[in-house]
Amino acid sequence: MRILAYVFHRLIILLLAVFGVSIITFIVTRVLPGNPAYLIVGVQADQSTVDAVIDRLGLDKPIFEQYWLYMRQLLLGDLGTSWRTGNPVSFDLSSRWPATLELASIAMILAIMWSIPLGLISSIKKRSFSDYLAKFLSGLGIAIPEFWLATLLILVFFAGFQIAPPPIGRIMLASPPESITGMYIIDSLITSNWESFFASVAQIILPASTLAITIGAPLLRVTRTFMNEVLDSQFIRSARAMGIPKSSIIFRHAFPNVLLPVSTMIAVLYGYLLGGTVLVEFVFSWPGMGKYAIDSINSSDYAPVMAVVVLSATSYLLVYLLTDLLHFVVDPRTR
Amino acid sequence: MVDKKKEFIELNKLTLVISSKNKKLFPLQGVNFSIPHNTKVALVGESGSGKSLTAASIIGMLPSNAEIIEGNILMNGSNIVNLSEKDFQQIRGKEISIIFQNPKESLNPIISVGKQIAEVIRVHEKLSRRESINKAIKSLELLGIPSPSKRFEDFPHQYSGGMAQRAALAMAMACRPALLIADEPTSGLDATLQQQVLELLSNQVQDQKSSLLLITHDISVVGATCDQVAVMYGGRIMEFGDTKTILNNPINPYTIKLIESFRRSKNRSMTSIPGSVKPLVDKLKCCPFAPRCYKAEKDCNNQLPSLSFVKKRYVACSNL
Amino acid sequence: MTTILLRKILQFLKTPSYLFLTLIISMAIFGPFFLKNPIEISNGPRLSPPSFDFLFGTDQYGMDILSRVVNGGRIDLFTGFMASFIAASIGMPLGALAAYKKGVWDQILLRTSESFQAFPVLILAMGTIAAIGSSMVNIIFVIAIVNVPVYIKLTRSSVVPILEKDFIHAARCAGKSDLRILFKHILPNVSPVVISQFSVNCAWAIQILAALSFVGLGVKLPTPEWGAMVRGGSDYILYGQWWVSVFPGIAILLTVLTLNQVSDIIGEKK
Repeated sequence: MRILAYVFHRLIILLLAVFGVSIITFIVTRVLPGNPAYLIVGVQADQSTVDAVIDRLGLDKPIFEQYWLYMRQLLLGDLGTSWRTGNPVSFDLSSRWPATLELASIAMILAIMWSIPLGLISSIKKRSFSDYLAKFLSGLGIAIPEFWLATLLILVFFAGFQIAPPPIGRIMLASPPESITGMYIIDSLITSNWESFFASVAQIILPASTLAITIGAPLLRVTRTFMNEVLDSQFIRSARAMGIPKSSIIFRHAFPNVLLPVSTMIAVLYGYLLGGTVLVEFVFSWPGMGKYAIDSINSSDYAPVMAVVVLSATSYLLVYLLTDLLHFVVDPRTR
Repeated sequence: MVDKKKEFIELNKLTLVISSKNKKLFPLQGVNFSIPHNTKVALVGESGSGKSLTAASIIGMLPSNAEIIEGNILMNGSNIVNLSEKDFQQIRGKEISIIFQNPKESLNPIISVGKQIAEVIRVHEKLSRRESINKAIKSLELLGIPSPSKRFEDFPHQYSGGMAQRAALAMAMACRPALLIADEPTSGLDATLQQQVLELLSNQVQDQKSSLLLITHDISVVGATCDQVAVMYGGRIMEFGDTKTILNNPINPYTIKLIESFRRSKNRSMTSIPGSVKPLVDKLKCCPFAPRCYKAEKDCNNQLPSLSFVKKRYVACSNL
Repeated sequence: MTTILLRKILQFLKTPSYLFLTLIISMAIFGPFFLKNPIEISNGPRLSPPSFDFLFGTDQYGMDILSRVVNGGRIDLFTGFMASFIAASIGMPLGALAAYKKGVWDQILLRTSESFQAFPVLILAMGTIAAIGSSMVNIIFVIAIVNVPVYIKLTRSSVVPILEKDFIHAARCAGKSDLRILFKHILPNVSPVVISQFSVNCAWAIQILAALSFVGLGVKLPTPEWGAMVRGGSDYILYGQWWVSVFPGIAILLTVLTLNQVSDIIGEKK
């Protein structure tokens, strides 16, 4: 029962946050100089198109009415039309969103695989090689410019060693698998399309690795910090004083206590990643939301940009909500 | 001297060095004292006197930058100073247990209290899972925790402070150790609670015929509880022996001043010992208390007094 | 007097991060006097790899990359610093005020800056710059706005525990005005944390600027800005001509790394 109340409470907060996001986005579009109509149909549109838009969006009406119309559109799922592609934005996003989701998810998995074990080990073995390695990598990964790292990886693995495919999109030398989730790797696995599978994996490795490095670095740092904190706590000292062997202390006592804060961090980073793949998508021509946003920005096509912004922000909030719920379920202290 | 066979723990000339970056500290310098079987001993000293480090040495849990460079610790006659971590794991929780201040903090917040006690039991005794659970419930019961089988499942945050104290003690005593070390169990508690905790410790230890090493900075709590008391200052034992003897007739000036300041503070007038505790960056060449001692004489600054048996207790003072 | 100052400076420079930061800043300020910014297309060798004549090589216009990197320092560092400074000037008073006044406005401010975290900052910055134009002022302004919530939250969470302290209460009872309490008592106590944050923020601002320029929405070539320079060389990467993009990137990396380190040191000490 308490869980239901908590979920309900958090959902309300989520709705309020999304509401806030929509308000801010709306304000931004109306605050920018220039007639918003042009933002929507483009500067080359003729007067009648512009008038039609003004009429449809009620841009000559008072601001609150404008907001109401905007919200109504949004809630009906109408994210506007991209005059650059000629498609409704929601259609464009239906293929681009899974591309970003796939990239972000693979990147997150890779990041977890390298940073968490290293973080834990470097914390347990203080002043060892792994300790210095961890400090070095986390500092480097946080400071390195993402777009430069991406460029560097292309230089080394494509131009240099020539083992990576050209950085052009999601799949080459094979056709995309049948679309079920929109994520090539999963779809090709489901349909047992091995040609597609390997081609997709080859294309995703470099961009995902770039992100895995830049996201893994803060995760590494945070894992180390949390583990250090736990290992210094009195209950760990107490367990050791009771004669409990070191391996039990690490796996049964320390690790579970670190899991909670680390998983929160993973969620925050993942939420950030869903809106933060822009630079990598740009460098690798990855047809996701980020590239879509940049292409639209460069063509002064703003409806897609706003849609991407709202979608990213909402995804972040959703991920955050899910983590909160997970926390509530798993942590005995909240029951 | 003391009959060696009767002592459970014996510390002989124990000297410790702590090395950091470019500094060296000597927090323990030639510590000599002992803990007999089935006896309650108090180790009293201000912060910085080295009492917690003494306890840490006994169970082999010194910080990584600390090293014992002289002396030994005998447990039933055998030296335990150079034992490996694995060997110490056999001793900790089984022969010697320690409980810390803030009992709630000594418990893992995400594991049920009972499971933690059962784990300690299983580590030291070859019992099945079921058996160790039963024994854990039994130990909770022995410490006066109501509905022990239900309390077994509860988490530390569901325990009150007093119950957490009992649970922590249950965990420490579950395998019937020969010595229980209590590191500042009464600090931060008001008078009534202090009384309760001391009684609890006393009873538990007596029931199981174990010894107690009570570490505290408050000499006024030892009178009712402990059979013997050791007063520590500057990494050395100043006075050591039967509690009544020492409290009624203290010889070492530090002990005298310590008793005075606690007696006075109970009566609400402020007394303190002038001066402050200095960190021990060198090996001592004279009595550590000499700079602050009201009875200091020329000899006190020239020689390091060792413990001698005077008036039925051990005392270290150049000016007897 | 001067010997004491000199000694303090030498002590300051003992820490490698402080030394490095000083070197970078010095290079940015004084470097351009020695290595003039190449603007005109020269007759020099095009796209030549690093050599004794051109330590970092030359780009497609024959310009010496070392000179361009050194000159670019001014733009990146200045922009980073200014944007951070403006963000702090707006965010800190707001945060302190929110903590001090409490109540509804505090909650509104808090929730707003928290939901700001959800936004894809880079996309927003790009979109805004594209719409209002990519002049230096606009760029600094946009980066500053994006960083304001950080300062609001930071100041607020640092101020709240100080408010509990008695001396604030005492000052209030003595009748001192709110503003005076704010500036004389509260803000000075918050400074170590804020300085540490400022350093990190500068690093972040530089990264945003470089990213904006990289995608073509910030500083545009031929102005030597590190991010723009990386973009300028990216076409040649595919052919293995690495020096045009790599060196400016190293400059960004080292600057950001140093600023982060400095931030950690300040954060730990005080």
